Amino acid sequence: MGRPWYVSALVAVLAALLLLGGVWAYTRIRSPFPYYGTVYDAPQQAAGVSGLSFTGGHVTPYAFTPGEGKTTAVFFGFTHCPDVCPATLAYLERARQAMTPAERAKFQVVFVSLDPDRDTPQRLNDYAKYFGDAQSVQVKEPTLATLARSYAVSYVKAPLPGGGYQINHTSATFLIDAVGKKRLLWDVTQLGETARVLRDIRQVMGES
Amino acid sequence: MKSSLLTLILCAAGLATGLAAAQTEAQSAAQAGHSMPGMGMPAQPARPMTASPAVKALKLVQGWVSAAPPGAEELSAYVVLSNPGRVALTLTGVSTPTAGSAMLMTTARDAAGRESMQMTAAMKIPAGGTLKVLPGQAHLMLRKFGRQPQPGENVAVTLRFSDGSARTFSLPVRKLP
Repeated sequence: MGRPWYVSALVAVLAALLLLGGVWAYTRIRSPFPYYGTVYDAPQQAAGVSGLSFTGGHVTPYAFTPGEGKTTAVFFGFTHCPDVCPATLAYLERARQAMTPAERAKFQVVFVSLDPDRDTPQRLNDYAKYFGDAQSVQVKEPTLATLARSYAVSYVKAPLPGGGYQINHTSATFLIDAVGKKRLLWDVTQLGETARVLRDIRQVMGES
Repeated sequence: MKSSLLTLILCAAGLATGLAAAQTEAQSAAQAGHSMPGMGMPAQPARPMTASPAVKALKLVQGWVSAAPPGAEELSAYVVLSNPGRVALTLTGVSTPTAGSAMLMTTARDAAGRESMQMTAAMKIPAGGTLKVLPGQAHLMLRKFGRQPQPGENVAVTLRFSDGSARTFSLPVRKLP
């Protein structure tokens, strides 16, 4: 006669556990640190950002050059954005506030406007500083289109009933390490998990 | 007996593979951006306020209006409403004396991975369930302010429902999150 049913069941459960364990081990080998954000399989060199900012009461040229030593979170948005952009800037600020002063000195947030027609450097600065400490940048077309493409950021104007428009855009925040490589990205719905976001940042900071 | 054992193993393997696939899917979903679907519709004129027992029973778990810098032309209100009753409810409209225009918006990712706000006509609150209008998912968009509401103030936000009911909630203005 065959085996009792419970032996068969036990064998089945063991087989399932073995398979799950294999999958777990495989993912751990591919990404040894369990990052919360979505990791670039092969870290890519991040494109620099150059445009205009509002600093010290004046419109001045600004450039973010990846690899100059700071770990950098880059976010593309616009100031007529009532939902995702304030949330992103506020969540990144929350992570920044949770850092030690030494870490904070090695970290920055860069906010690039996808609406350079309406977002003047001053308006951008007012907006960014209201929600946190991001460095905001106005990049004009066609440079903006090239920059966005290099981050795989897509954006398009969407008219509002009653006038005006919003910008539909890729809302990811990109984390770039101190040597200028794109390492991972977070979706806005992930960013509220400050402790996990901070663990990712610390890991990337520690490695580069 | 042997064949049943084989079936069990196959089922277990299938389950494991399914779980692994689900994990991969979740990862790729996390990669996409945020969108803002629905946008503005003129606020509807105030109607006499009556609330059905089901609407009266709704509980505001949390709610606030997110503050924005001076000169902002749009603000978002967020609410989490739980429905302890046995009747599903549908939120169909929003208005406030603070803003000339208010609309229900959901945030969804379009085919190109862009977060886009979409105006929506209805948000369901299942019986015994919860409606979450929270950042990155959905918001009540307010536009056309007489005077921009400031942190520390409260905004009276009236929600209308498909059963003809309306109910007003007083939501504090505060900075996210």
